[in-house]
Amino acid sequence: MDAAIRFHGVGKSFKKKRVLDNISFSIPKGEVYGILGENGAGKSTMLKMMANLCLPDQGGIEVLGQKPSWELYQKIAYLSDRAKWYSDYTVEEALQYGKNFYPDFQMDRAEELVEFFKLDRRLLGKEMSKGQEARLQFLLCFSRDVELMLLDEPFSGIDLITREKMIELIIESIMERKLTLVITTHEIDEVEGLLNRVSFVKDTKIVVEGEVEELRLKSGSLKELYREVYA
Amino acid sequence: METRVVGSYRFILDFSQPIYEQLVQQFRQMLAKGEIELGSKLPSVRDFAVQMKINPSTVVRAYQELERDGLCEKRRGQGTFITSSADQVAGLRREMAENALESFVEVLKILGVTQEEAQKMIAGVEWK
Amino acid sequence: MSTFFKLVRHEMKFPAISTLFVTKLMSLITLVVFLGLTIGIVMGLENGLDNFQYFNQTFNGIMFVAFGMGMGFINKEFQKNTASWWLTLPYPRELLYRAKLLSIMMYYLYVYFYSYLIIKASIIVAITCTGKWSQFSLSNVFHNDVIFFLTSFLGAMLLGTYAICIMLFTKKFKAVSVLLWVPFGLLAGFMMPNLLMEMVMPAANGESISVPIHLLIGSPILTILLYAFGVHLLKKHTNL
Repeated sequence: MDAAIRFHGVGKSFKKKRVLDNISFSIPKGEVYGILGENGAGKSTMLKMMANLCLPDQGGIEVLGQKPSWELYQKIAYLSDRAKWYSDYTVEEALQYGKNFYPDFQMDRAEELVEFFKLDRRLLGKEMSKGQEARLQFLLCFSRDVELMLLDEPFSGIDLITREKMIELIIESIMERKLTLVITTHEIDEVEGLLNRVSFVKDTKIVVEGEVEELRLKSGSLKELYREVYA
Repeated sequence: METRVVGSYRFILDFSQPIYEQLVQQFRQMLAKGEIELGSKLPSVRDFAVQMKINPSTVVRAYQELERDGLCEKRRGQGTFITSSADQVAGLRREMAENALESFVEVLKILGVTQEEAQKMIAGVEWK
Repeated sequence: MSTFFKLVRHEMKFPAISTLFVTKLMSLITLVVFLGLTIGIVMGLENGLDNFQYFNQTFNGIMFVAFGMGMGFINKEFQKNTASWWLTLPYPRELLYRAKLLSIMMYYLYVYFYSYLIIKASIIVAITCTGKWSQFSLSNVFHNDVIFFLTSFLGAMLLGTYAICIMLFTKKFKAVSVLLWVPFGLLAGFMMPNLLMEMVMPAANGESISVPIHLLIGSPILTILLYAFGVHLLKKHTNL
């Protein structure tokens, strides 16, 4: 199996509080992978580790066959759950930012996405609603030609229309190119049909891992499984 | 259970069952019922996936399954088309009816219902 | 344009005076400071003020603005949650840190020389208003100004090191970061005795001073070395 991400016995603590304990799993290339779990279960930490923004205390991680390093940022896009766009940048300037700093930035695609998301080019970061800001940040990630995309809670607190557009964009992107997508979320409804593979994180460990269609045969919908795991 | 519409097709998705199987099953039913015109073009994988909000690979898998059963065919560069053979569809209809009948008979047998009783019961059922 | 300069330009953009409100506010502050100073100097001149060194020396205090500025620039990324964009740019972290530090220094120098210009303008206007050009010449106005250039480098140096320490420690010990004043106080004390005793004080008394050449050359070099060292430290230790 060609893995996009591998965790070998990864452990992490913050101020003596154990967040992750001896986690080993891998994410095959080309999958839409969901890391599910409740708030504070360590999902975000796992994603940050993949993005080389947080180092494990124990164990090791491989991303696209290499140890995490800045070079990986040429091949991955990471969207933090708390990420905000620069307040003094307009949409137009955000596109310039993309073009200036990401060698794989596809300007024509970005232009299309501005239309798709119905964003006003003169809108400043600080004038944006939460939905508009989410659209812009999604646009910047998806205008890049990356191999791996890491999305941390992309739908939380986002309006319905924006969520639907985001999902449409995700589906189109995985149609168009070979892309591995890792999404952390606690909102199953949005992604029930989208995920190929999932893991459930609970109390520092992965408690269930597998292919979604197989899990459906064994234990029903992801939502039911979620209730079972966290009840 | 959720109803999702793609073009002229309406699907009922139950996320507690494998999705690709449901797609295949519901396509077969629609075909057998004659709800799908012979030789018509199926939605593209992209449109299907976007409108159903499901992973494109699930759609591909369902289309492949239908193709293997000879219920549709892929034409290079044009997309996937429903078979234009009426025989094929008639065969499918017969097969599905036979399968249903078989399990129906199995259940009646377990209950100790005889063939004559069953025939009487069927005759008495309001068919509309 | 190289990536480094694009990065510096990006860094300079976001604290830049970009809104009308900030522009108005800056103009207002400039005006108030300018008028206040001018009135003060006019009053001083009417009461027998014979040199401008006191005004120049208060100016040395602006050096410490650098502390707040460095902290503000870096904390902004974290407070406004733009840090994940910043730190995942596809370039070596070292380049990102270098660009940020350079932009903070440039911003600091901008404020420093802006203040310098206001002070000098006030003095000139005050002399003109009181009609005392017979007593003073331009060389009186710019007397001992060489000290400004020295302190500006020292200030930038402090700023650089301070910013690094903030980046290293604030994420972990937020309350303790206030105590970083202590090492900087010591550093300044260590660097400055000569400056205070041999230059600042005599200059305040109106004496002519000469800045030794090794200090003039040494302070910018020291600044550059500290800058490089700080970036290296950051690269090794930051872990978001």
